Amino acid sequence: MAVDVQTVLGTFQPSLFLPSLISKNKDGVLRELVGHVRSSGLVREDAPVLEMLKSRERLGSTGIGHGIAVPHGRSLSVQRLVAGFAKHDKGVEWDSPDGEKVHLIFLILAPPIEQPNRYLPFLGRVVEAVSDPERRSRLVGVTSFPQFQEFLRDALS
Amino acid sequence: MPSRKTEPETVAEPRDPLTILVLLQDLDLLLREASDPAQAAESNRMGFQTGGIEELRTARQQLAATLDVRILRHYEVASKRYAGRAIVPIKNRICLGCSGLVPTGANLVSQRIQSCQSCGRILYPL
Repeated sequence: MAVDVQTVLGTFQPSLFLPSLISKNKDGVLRELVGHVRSSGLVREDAPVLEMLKSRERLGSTGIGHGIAVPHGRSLSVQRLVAGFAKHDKGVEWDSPDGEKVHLIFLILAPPIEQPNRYLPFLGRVVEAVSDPERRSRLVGVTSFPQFQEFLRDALS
Repeated sequence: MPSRKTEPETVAEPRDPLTILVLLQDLDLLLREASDPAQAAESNRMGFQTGGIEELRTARQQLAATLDVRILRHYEVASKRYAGRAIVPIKNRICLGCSGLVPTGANLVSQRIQSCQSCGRILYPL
């Protein structure tokens, strides 16, 4: 199914707009992100979500190159499709295919089953939003949630 | 929204059998999706890597080995019967697997784990 721009905008949580992550490595960043998901009340339990994200990284890196990573996955602890966006000024090693450190991180979490199933199409829309070099540079300069929403609107309309 | 520094958050390590069962079901789902050629191809097309499936299978075996044999068997039987959904949420005493009302004092797979008397799925309180 197609995921429209409004759905994308509504899935990103203001409480998960994190412009200054401080953890020093990939595991630390995942832990930091999941901690914010928990404190936002978006999951029942945080430990399974963190373990699921680590397992996904074990399957293969979610770094897609150009300084971007999209950690994602499904867990029973997640009750609905939610997403967050974070930035890391110094950059973190993510085993990306181009070897670049990751500065921009999209977190996407979904329950095991959704009606309708928007998880994979949503992932596709996020990847589409950062497929263009000009858009990526614009995203680097985003410092607020409204700016981030504006970026998504322009990138996906 | 003004730029703000975020503090590292702590996440508890999983300990109890129900949490381990949830980890196991999440891992089984990830393995199933990664083993599906269409889903793996879609994932690769988006730029994600999926080459570590054997490592993940080993991790799954190690995790399963930490569970009591009786609990693991209950999980595996229910997982096979319900296409990977052995554990389902329970909300307001309703099993969200079969929509059955779960009476007080439902079946106990162990002291910490309840299963639905109607369908046998393991219940995960929301």
